[in-house]
Amino acid sequence: MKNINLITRRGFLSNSFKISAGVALSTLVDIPLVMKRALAEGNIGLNGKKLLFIFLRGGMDGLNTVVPIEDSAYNATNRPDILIPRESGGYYSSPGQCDFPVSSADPSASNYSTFHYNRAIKTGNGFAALHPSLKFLAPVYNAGELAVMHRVGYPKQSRSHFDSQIYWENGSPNNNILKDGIFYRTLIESGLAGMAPLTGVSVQSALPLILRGSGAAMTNLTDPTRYNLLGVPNTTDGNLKAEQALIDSNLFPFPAKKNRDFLALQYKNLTDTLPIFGDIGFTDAGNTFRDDVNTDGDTEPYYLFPTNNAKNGGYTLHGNDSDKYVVDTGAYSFFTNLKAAALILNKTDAIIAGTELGGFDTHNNQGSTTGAHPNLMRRIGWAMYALRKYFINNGDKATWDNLVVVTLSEFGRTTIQNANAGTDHAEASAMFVAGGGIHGGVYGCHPGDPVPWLTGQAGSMFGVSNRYLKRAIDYRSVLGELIREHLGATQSQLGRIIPGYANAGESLFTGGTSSLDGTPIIGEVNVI
Amino acid sequence: MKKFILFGWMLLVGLIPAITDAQVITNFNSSGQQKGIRFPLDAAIKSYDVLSTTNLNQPFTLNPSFVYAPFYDTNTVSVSAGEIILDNLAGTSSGSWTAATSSNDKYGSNYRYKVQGTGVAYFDFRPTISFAGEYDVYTWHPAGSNRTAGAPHVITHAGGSSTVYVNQKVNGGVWNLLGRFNFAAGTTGYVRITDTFADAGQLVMADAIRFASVIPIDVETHPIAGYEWRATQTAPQSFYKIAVTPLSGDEALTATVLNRLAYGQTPDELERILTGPNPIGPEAYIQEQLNFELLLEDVAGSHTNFGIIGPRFAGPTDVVDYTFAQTYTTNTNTLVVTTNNVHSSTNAAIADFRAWHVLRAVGAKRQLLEVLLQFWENHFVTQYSKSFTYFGRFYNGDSGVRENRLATQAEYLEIDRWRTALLNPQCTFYDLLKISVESPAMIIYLDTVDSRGDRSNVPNENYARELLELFTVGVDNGYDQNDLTLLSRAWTGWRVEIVDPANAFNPFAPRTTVNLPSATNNFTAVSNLFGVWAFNYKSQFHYTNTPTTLFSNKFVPARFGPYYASKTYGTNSVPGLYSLTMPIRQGTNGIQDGYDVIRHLADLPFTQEYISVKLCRLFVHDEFTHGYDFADGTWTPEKELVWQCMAAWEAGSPKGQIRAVVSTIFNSPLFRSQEAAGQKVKTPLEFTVSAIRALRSSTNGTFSAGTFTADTEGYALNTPLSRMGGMLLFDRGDPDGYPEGAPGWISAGTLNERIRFVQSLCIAPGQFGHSGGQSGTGNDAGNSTSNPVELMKSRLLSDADRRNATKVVNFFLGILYPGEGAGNLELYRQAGVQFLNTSDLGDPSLFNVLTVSSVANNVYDNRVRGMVAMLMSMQRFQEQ
Repeated sequence: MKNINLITRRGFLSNSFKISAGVALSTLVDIPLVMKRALAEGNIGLNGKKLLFIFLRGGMDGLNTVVPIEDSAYNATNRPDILIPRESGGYYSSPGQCDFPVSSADPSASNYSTFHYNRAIKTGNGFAALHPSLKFLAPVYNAGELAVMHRVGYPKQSRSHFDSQIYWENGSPNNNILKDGIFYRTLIESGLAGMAPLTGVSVQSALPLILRGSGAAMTNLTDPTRYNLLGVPNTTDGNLKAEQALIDSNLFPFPAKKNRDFLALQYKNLTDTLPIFGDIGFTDAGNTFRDDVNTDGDTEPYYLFPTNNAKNGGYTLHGNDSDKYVVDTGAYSFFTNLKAAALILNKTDAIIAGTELGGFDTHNNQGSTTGAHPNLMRRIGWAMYALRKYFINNGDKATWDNLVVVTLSEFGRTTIQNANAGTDHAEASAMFVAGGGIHGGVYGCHPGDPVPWLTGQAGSMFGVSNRYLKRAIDYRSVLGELIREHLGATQSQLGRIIPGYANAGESLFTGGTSSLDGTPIIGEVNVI
Repeated sequence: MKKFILFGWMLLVGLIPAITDAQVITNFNSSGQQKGIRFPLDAAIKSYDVLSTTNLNQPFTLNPSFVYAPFYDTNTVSVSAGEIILDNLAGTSSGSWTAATSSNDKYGSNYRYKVQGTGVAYFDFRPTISFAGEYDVYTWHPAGSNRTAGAPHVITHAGGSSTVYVNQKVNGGVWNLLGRFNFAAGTTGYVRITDTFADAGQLVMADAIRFASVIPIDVETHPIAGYEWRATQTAPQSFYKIAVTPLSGDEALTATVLNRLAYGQTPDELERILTGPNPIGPEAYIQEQLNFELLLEDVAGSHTNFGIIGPRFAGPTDVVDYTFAQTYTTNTNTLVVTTNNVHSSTNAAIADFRAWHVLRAVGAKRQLLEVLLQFWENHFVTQYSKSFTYFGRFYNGDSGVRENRLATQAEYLEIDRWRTALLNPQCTFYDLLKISVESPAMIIYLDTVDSRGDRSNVPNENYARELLELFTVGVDNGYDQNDLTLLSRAWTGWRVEIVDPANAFNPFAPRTTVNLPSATNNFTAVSNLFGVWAFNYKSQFHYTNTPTTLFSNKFVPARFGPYYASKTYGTNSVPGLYSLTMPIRQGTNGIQDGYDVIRHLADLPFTQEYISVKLCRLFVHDEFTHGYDFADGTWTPEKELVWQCMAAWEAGSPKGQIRAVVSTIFNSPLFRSQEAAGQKVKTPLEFTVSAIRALRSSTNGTFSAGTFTADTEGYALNTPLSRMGGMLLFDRGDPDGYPEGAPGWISAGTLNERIRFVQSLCIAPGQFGHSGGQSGTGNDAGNSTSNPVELMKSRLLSDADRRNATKVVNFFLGILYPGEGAGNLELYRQAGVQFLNTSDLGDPSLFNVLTVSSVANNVYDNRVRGMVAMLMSMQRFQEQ
């Protein structure tokens, strides 16, 4: 017996690896303590609640998304090429339901096209309106399950994409040092990260900072339909042999180098998750999920996840008519990723999953009711509609009542358009929060808010440097409330997940005047 | 057969401070009875080799040249070493347990029993575990009909406690397995038998417990590095005498140099530098690469695609038009059409350019030039698809073909100009910046092309922001939002235009008025014009309202130290003041604003710092950041290196010579130390190219097309790069460029794609997994191929060697992990040998009886290919 068999070596190395991992953790400042504390408190991961995030990268123009239609500063002088037109009369000031401009199935009707309606959609809060391409938000909103948050930002807002994305993701404004993400820390506090193979998952090109950290590996899938290995020969047996060899190699010890602990965590996460995803139908053939009603005046239920033309709204119902698309054809990869994130939350024990949607950096030809920004609005609107229906009708390990969907974006855009019919980097923007337990409505976009929306050329839209929309809600208050009230963190855990919560002067919980820049903020809005 | 019996092991990583040699350790348990050797995992040690066995009397002294490992003779210690048997005599009890001897199937001389109870009574077997690890735990009981069918055995182990119920009516007189548990060293683990069983009127037995270490180690194949070997003084023992061979500086440096100055090692380069006859050594290689313009670049001969793609690139004065297999020239407004047989029917498209670019990375002699080009291309990032969209304003009906050609040309011209600039040994940062600023691709990418500053127009801030934040001084480094807004005025009027080819370098030229011969109607449409798209300045859009002062009243901060604080900058006479005023400039004079700005920015200390930091991240490791306090007197190696780079930048005439800065890095201890090796993680481009290069040897020594044991036609890397995290060359969406650091690239999903790529690369062409096959596979490596058996055969010449698993594995370890101490690769070696000796089904299958063959799907070929794929799937192949 010259050689040790694989099983024996594995057992032997397995032991070694545990020691190694323990040591690696101990080199971090306080992760082991955090993990110990987590075992003693909180409900994250134990209460069945889940969260799905969509990061809208590039800086979303909040003013053309959730339109302050009753603010006189929202006008054609400030936004000559990109203004969202209003309906005439006192239409928007009357409270009530959100309008859902339904289309007709009759090609000769003037409202035949899915996005025939080209004016701001009344939300019924008496002040705010939605971009017409967000029409599919209306059913979610009217079910009381959509919260529209406006004027969301943070103190001393950075207008750099990269810095601002870092701050949104690490949960610590103006801190470039903190290298782990807000949802990563949430999952560390659950006590499950590093023990359960799957806690946080992203479906995009690379693991985002929001899920990144050095103590435990979160999972990113670039293409979930290809999540397996190839042996030589590429047969069932050959593949197993290759996979076993890789699993064994995870346990090889190594001298310390920068990045080696990080690589080891990710390798282990790969081999831990290989078997889990094998049973989930990620391929497009498995995309059979359809609406349970004929929506938007059409004759058959639409597919929920438009991943190709045939599954895109009423396209095939009307002789392949692109007028009946619910999203543009460039949206398919986003919906493929969104579907995978939804399936993972629904079919596995993952607690947080998400993806991203790019293209919001609309410096140039942003578009009013058609074009670049409107196409993105269509994606958001349909995504929320589809996620709600998917989880209501197919809920398994995640149900609509146990789920929150949240969008994030690093900043808003200039109140006045630039010379290219676009908008540049600015400050506060809008967030959407949806879920069966959400207290729906519009927050932060009304003159009667605790921090009032001031109208006119000297109002909120020019509240910073006479150029930018001033924040009234800190994004950390929104995420903080969700992490505590929904995911089940205790208040003290929240202080560790979002450091600003531990500083009463920031007023993230109660609202008040931020000690960092003297700006009044609303605090938590009781969104759930 | 002599055997080491390993009693325990412990990973040394992090447990103890780094040590550079094996150490004898004593008194490592509380009783002071034991003695052993610590073998560090250390990149500085090349190998531990067993020299001889020596019976040494204790205490032994350490000869500094050698280290010693204890071993036991198999005659005196059984292979089940690590076994601890506790008879009930060694146990402790609570409650009234009765000793008895009558059962014949007892262990030892007696046993204990007790009647049913509440669990207050128990019998404990508590071993002293010397070495943490996994143990199989067994129990022994005398069986009988009056015993409980569920004797509770509570095992307290490192992972908590577990209860196993044992039927004591049967299976007496043998060891019954309770399970495999992990125990910490010491006495915290134990087995407790309690009296809380369910069947009333029965008895529970407590006789003996056995803890058997599950790993008897065969010392001749067991790795030494990274473990402690221990012996107890009470046992008869001897020692192996072991030689420690340090890794030579050249070996470690060669690996670093080939990973950083080049896209990884090739077997041929390794031999030329290090392992072959008359090696030149890594120093000579560094000098070769630092003077790359002197190297003969014969990459064009290494693949036939160079001959196909190269002629299709359109130069700055070449008209891009896909509709004719012709080139055009103008002669005083008369169009001369010449059929050009060298050109293929189309100009290069983006896929061609990408293939050409990666083919150079794979095969170029001037590796450092290719590395630097990729760095600057990624630093001054532009986006193919943004240009594509822009040209779409003028061309439609071409199915995007002409937009593709034009956008590709815009990207190609940047690389072409940077290449020319870098070939000058005195090339400066300013030279490279100027190329970027004037590039149509950049003017389009960050929206300058539509920016206006005339009348009441608000200039687009996009380019001004990224010019400061990403391309020169670095984020929040010496500017504020106001500077950025003001700076956006400088670029108003910078546009692109289609001009007569003769005017390609005249930014004031009007739009061409010559029509294409194909234009039979609509002569006013831009799509019908004959000309080249070039940088063009439109003075009517330039901001001329007021004079603009950038960095007004801003001084170089004290953190840069007195030298930079006391210098004057630009036309300022006040030391440290670095403001820049752009006067009102009318007409074409307005173009000067932009040039003034880049001349000013190029050598500011902020820029020197930020660019040096980025180059250090490229060549050393990820953990450099701008914002160092150079004045505070404490120096980390990182801060010091950045400072030295800035000194090299400042000392040159002209300032900012790229070669001077990178030469400073290559000469630094941070770069040269053995610790520096393997600190970085490969980007997808580096990973795929290095995988091909690692197996790429010229079979006839000519480096000519078709003679390599691993190759690619270039195009095949596009899809894998996309899958590994969206690394679309020349098409980065965000202006920060693709990440250099590991976190931006590494996650389970991208690792899956990386591993699949090397696995597919190792599968023979035509076989499943290389070309189609398994569900969801497609064509991972595509037209990237390797033939590891042919490569190995070119170095292992005898049939016996080729069937010797250890030699085969050692050969591949040598070319895949040069500069890595053999001790550190011991587990890789074992895994490789094991793999070669295992069938696909996982059964033992001797490698040395296979017939050597490189025929696809032959058992031998598959074995070797699979083993190489496994070695390349390992974590360390991700590192550079």
